[in-house]
Amino acid sequence: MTFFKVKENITAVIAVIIAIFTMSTSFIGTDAEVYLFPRIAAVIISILAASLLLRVLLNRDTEVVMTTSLINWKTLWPSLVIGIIYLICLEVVGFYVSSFVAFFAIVALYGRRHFLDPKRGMFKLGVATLFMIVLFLLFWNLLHVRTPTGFLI
Amino acid sequence: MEFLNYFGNVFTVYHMSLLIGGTLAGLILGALPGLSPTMAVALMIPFTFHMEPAAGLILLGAMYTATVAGGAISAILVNVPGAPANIATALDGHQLAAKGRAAEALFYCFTSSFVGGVIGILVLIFFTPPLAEFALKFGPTELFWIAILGITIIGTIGSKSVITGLLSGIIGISLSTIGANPMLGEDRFVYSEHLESGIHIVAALIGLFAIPQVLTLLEKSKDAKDEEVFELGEYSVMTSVLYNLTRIKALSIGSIIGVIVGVIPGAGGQIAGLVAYDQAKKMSKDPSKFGKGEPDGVIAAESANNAMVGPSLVPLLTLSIPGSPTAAVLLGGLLIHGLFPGPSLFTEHAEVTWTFINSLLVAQVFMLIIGLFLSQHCGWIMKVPSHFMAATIFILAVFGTYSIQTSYSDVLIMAGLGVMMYLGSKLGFSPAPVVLGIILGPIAEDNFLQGKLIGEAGDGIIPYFTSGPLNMIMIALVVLSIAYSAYSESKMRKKSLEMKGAA
Repeated sequence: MTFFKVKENITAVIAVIIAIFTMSTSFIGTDAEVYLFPRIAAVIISILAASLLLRVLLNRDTEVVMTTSLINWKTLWPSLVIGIIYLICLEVVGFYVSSFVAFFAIVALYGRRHFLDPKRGMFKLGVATLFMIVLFLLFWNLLHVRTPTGFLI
Repeated sequence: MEFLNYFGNVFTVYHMSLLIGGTLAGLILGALPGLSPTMAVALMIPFTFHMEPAAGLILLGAMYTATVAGGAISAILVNVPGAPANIATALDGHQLAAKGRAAEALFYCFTSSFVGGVIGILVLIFFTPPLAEFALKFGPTELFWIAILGITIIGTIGSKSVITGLLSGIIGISLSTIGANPMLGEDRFVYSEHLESGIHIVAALIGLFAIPQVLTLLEKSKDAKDEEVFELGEYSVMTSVLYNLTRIKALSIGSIIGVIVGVIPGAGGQIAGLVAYDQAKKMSKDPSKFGKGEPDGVIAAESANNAMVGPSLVPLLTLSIPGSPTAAVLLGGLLIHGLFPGPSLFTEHAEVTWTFINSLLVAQVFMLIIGLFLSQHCGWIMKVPSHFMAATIFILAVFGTYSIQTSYSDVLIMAGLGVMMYLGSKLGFSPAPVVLGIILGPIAEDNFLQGKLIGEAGDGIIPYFTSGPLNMIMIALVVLSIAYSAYSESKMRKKSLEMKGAA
């Protein structure tokens, strides 16, 4: 499928999906008076999506085929997993403890050196601890700002 | 000269410490390669939420002006502009650094930023009140068209593709309609309890600007190479500052172009810097020196990108049309403090507004002093690893979003919008039009519904929205900005096709 190896083509398809979604959610089973403005926006989105699709269909001869993937999923997936677990734990464990773990996990897994390098690992642990102490002193002690709390802080 | 009445407000211990802290933080954040000024200001907004409005705006204003100047540090030392506004600075600044004159280049950068910045703020001081008074004539239809014009301009001029730019803006408007209808109060698109209160501006700002940056930094962290950081070199501050001030032609070109580009909505510092650099080169007695370490190249580019800061706030404070993406974020900062752009800023909120504008003038002085000091000790900033920056931004983004309304839903919305924006940015969508759509969407809808009621009671909706000189001017500007950008885009496409054909 070379069609999906062209950035502009993917953009056009995504735009069409957004247009279909906004049109169906604004027009189907909704009150015309309440949804008037979203309906106008949905119609404009559809016109723009259609013109984007038309443009890529008419310019097939000038398209640039991508040789590499748009997104480096192999590098990104650990951070997305950490992010999801962090957001789930935020209100269960507490902001400071879960932030400390998330910060350390990110800095430990990324960077050029292997994450099991003990010397580098200690440095990363030190930075994560220092960062959390600064956050705690600043937000908890000085500014008294409320943060998500769980069974820990 | 009303601004002089409030000048003393800036000189309190609290405000001065915010100015110094904001300037220092802005210079360091601006200098970190890969961190944009827009993201830095967006991330700072929640921290100003609990402050009094003047103090919050002083901090945001100081950060705005300092991040633009700070971006020159990485442009000069490692040839990676800290912000798009510093692309032109790298052309000659990095060449100067390669010759062992990095400190000298940085001194030029901060002195010219100071001169350009002061001129820009003076334009802001003298041009904003009359324009704000003019905005008094605006009714619902004019306010509706102003909102549409703002989104159109940022969506077209500020984006690579007119269609994706406009699409980004309209998607922003659609997102702003989640929650209660402003007239009837009925919920719309509330598919989950997390969407009951709609999308908060701060959650949108942080999600759309900070999260894509976090993911981009992490994406790069595995293959990042240590950039070659040039030695700063020994050079007298006074000698370079005095030399800089004698380069009147380069300073004038930069400042004038910066002011003009700043007032044009959506243009931003990148265009100001590049146009000023190009003009300084064309007007030079020896253009061949440019690109090889010519101080005038740094001076013109840096005076331009900082001269842009003040004027970019003129359309923002009067008509709620931001002159740059960072100004769009600043609009969010104004709104969360209950300040709506327009004449009321200079009547009801005159004290807050003038204190903020005056503080921008004082911020230029701090930017010069701290910048000149930092120029001699800034090599370490370049060595901060990108994954450490990413982790810090992520935690601060979560904390900042939560702290606004102590709402877990806001955090989830922020993260969701951020990941979607990251994916969107890979396909050519930009965050600035989406943010502006979310900010200006409710203003557009509110005034549209009001105008509709008035129109229905009179000659009809369409005649009411399209009659009157102001409405017609704004409709013409909307059409013009789309047509001009579409023309430029097709010209660029043709040019790149010709180049491909020739290759």
